Amino acid sequence: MRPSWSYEEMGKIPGQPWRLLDTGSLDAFRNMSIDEAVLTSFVPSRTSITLRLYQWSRPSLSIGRFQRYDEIDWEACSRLGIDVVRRPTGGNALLHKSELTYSFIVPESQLPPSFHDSCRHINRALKQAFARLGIATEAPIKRKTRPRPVCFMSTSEGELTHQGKKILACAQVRKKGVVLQHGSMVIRHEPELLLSLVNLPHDKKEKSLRRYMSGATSISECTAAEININDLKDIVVSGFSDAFEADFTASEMKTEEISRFNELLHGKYMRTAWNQEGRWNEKRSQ
Amino acid sequence: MYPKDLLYSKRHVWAKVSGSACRIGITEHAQDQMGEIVYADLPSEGSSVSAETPFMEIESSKIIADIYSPVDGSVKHVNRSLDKTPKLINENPYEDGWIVEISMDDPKRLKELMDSDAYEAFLEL
Repeated sequence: MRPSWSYEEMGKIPGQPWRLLDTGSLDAFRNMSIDEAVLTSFVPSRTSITLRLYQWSRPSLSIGRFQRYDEIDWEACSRLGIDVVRRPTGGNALLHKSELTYSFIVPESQLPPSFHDSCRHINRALKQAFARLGIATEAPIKRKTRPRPVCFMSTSEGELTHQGKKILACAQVRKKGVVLQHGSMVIRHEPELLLSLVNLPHDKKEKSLRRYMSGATSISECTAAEININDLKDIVVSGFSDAFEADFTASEMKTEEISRFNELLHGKYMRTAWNQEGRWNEKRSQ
Repeated sequence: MYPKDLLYSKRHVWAKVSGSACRIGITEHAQDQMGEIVYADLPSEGSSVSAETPFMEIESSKIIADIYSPVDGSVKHVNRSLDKTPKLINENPYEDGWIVEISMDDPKRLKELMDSDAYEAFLEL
């Protein structure tokens, strides 16, 4: 939504070095609170572009910003000990159990103006990362996204596929000229568990499982190599370095981000009103 | 593509003024950049809005973006057709895809908006 982006500059984003935030394994509520804290504390003139890498300390279901309450089987999630958190980003439900998650926080002005192009631009880094794993990927265009409760059951423009099967899920939110893009690099899918956490008509469960397994793939399905999470993090960082000619500096959260994190954790992401209904009372501000 | 009888903000929102009220929506350029809109989180009638401040969010294929009001005031009418058919914003952003009507507190703020020629020049910058 901004006319001045130049394709001649593609691949280069000024403002080096970038910040690498590795927050390890945390619960779902802390993971989303950190992402939004970094996003909303970001000041384009003085904050470095940030790549955050993280895992989930407990199996968790994250759902899209506007995903409907009745698409999730809340009783099943509770019975199976699955935390459910509503993301600030769009899209559908994802099971976080065996994966590396990234978030990339960058000024909107540094990306192509088209939303789909911006996903594709960022995902060049992930394409490089998959290539380092020996997995060739494609970025499909003109895919029609159909409303489904589960993210990996449909592919959007800008996401990545391997031999036609979705291998990288991503979603964005844009606030005050800053973009947060989430992405999940799934090491191993558990579609039966995931589909038991969402509400599907009983007679469609088997069909949905077949559709999931025929339309999605994971790192472990595409490479025989043993995946070490720290090696995978290094590979993702290298992917971003290669795609954007970026240097990274490892960093911790800043004081203002930690303060914002605490507000968001207790005031938003640990609250039922947000996670189940998407309601949050903070007044929208510029 | 940018009707002459509308005013435009740098946040890619159009305004059609009628007395102390204005109908607003997003521009052809904005809807094109967003792609297919799948959800519009519409505000309640009676809620207040402030110029250059987000008053609602929309989702277009996994991307959530704010919509900024071009004026101060309160929401008088909401286009409830968008609840079921948000892609009206894509299909006809200036007519069926209008978003809200606002009762303006201070119509003088309209002077800060651009006419269609100025908006097209802004897009070409």
